Amino acid sequence: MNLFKINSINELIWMLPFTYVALLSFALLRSEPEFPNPDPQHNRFIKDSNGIIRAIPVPFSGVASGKYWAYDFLQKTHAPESLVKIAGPNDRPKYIVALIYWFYPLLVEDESRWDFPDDLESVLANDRGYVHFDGRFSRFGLNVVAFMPEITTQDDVISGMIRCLNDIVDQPEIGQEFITDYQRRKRNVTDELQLETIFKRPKVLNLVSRPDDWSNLWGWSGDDLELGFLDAAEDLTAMGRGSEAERFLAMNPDLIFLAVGDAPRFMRDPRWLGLKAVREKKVYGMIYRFNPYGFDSDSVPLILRWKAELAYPERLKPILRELARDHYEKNYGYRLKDDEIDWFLRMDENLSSEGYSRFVRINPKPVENQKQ
Amino acid sequence: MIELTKNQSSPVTSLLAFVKKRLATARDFFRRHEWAMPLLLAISLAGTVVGSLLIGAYPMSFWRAGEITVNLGLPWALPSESSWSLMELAVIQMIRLPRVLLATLVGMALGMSGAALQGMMRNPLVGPDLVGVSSGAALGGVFAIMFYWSESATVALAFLGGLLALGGTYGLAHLARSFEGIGLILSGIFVGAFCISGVCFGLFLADDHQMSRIGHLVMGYLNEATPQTVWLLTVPTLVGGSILMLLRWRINLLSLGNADALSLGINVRLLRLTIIAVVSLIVAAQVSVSGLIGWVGLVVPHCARMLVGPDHRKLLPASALLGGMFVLLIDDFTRVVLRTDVGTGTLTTLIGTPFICFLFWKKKTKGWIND
Repeated sequence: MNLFKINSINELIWMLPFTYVALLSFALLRSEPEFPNPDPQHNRFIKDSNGIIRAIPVPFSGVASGKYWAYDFLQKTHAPESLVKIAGPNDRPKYIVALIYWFYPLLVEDESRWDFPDDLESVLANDRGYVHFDGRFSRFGLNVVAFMPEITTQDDVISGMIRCLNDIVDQPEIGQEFITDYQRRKRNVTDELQLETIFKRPKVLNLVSRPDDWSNLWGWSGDDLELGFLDAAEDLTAMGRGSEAERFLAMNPDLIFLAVGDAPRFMRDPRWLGLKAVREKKVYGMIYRFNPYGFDSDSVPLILRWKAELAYPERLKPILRELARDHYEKNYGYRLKDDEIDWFLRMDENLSSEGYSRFVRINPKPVENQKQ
Repeated sequence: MIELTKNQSSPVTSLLAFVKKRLATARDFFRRHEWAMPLLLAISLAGTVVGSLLIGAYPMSFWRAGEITVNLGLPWALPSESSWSLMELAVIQMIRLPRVLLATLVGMALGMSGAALQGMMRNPLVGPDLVGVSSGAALGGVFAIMFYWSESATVALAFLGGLLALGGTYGLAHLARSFEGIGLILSGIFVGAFCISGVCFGLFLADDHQMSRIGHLVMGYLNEATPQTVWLLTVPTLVGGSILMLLRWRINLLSLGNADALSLGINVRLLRLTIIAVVSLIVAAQVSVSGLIGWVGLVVPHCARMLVGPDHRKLLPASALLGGMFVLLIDDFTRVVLRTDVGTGTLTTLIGTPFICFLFWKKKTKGWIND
């Protein structure tokens, strides 16, 4: 039987679509359109976090951002007026529940900044010469600046981001101030701690898990090794590497910090009653952060202090509430109320844990007010 | 109140009768003019492809989009003086064209593979996802992702995975002495389950980046179409499709049964191995560039069979064309109407499953289970 025998014109017609699809595929071999270089007269040039020269429109025409980059932008520049677009309307609720809403309520309530589309074609259609952060758009001639450096340590990433973002909004001196302040706040904790004089180091476990399911706990090593903590999850350092519950019992850490879920629920669970940290009530729900999705330059020093105060209570003064209030007032012009500090320290949940009374406000709320 | 009697027909009944009559006329027309159905399908696919290139979120007139499309399709350089802007060209050339071609090729690959497998295994319940080849290809792809290998290595490993899975299914059915009936389906379910558990194990071991890629592989996405991914699928689909078309007569004989095919001088074992290899290659390429897109390979050949009958000379290309149109229309719906990244695989399954359930109900499994 001849394989190549064509029996009728009908069989040739069947081949027609395959031919034109194949021919159309050849159109993809054409070189992609080349977009003209930015006009030097209407742009200034900066180096992005990867050292590549990028054009920034003069006057600065605004920054369009998708996803959660708005957190990073606002936190590292404190320049909300520059952020003309933030995200799509569906993303706004996530921002309303975040600390950012306290500091920039008008920004979150301004609907015109929440109509940024998700799909590529709409982004191209709605571009008004914005500066974008999403690398996918650079192929299409949009102005994209990468502000996240490819460096491994958290401090270097945060410093690099602050530097780049403040270059974008043309306030490099302010950026340098933020970097210095960030480093100073972290150094203050370690200086006060005098780590070199501490010989008994606690074994600490950071946990991420769904609140209703403790059967599959995930271990991760935070950056708190600089507090001298011993990492209880040393064998599970890879992010996302799951582990079954029995291994966590074997770790038997001195302190447990819960990234998800609350401490009372964890300590009530009969499976964990044998853990040293549970017996000594040293389980704490992590405090809320300004920027829940990125490298948080506000919260990292505060969390460092918070953990240090819990691990070495005799070494540090209980001044976290004042530090937080002063920091946010100085940087955002917003004076945190006592209730708000209670909320982000998760006082209601953590108060039953050992040593958490040190964070109680000096003039606690009367009982009848609490009921209200 | 009007009471309907036997003599009085309702408007619905009249409409149904009218439609039935028209369908019978159309069927008669297509039976008498054999060239009409391929021409109709070819024009329909061409219309869907061109139409898809003209629509999208970027504001551009149909005329302008058509002008760019025609110029892109012509074999000479684009005019230096043109009426379109650079951005409009970029939208058609860099966003719509790769995505439209990828969707079309994915549908073609799956439709044709499904029809070939159903013919080879003499079982209309068979599809690439039901005999484990898609899951095997996905497992191969996951291996490549876990080791950060290149896209072409991903295709190669997916091919190997698909081939092994299909070989495993076939071998298991051979051991159970049930090639064509429920035994084959069960073997496919066993092998598919094993491969999917491997994919889940990959998810367990993956870091954030790998997890995102594996997630895309499992859910089936077309939104990351690039010229490279299109070419990775174009070559295996068109080459593999051509081989299947060359074997169309033999697949017809194979679908008569082993004894008949042997008596007609067909090397059944070699033919089966060839079809398995070709289908594995096509499905592997499809899975590695767009992830698991379910049910197209099962549902589309059924539709094609309704249009052109069981003859593989017509069934293979008709399945390819209908598959191309089906996936392309679903992707258009995602891209233009929903404007969000719902997995294409999710939507094809959402539509395909009720359809196959409908056939299951209508046909009462007649001709589906041979054991």
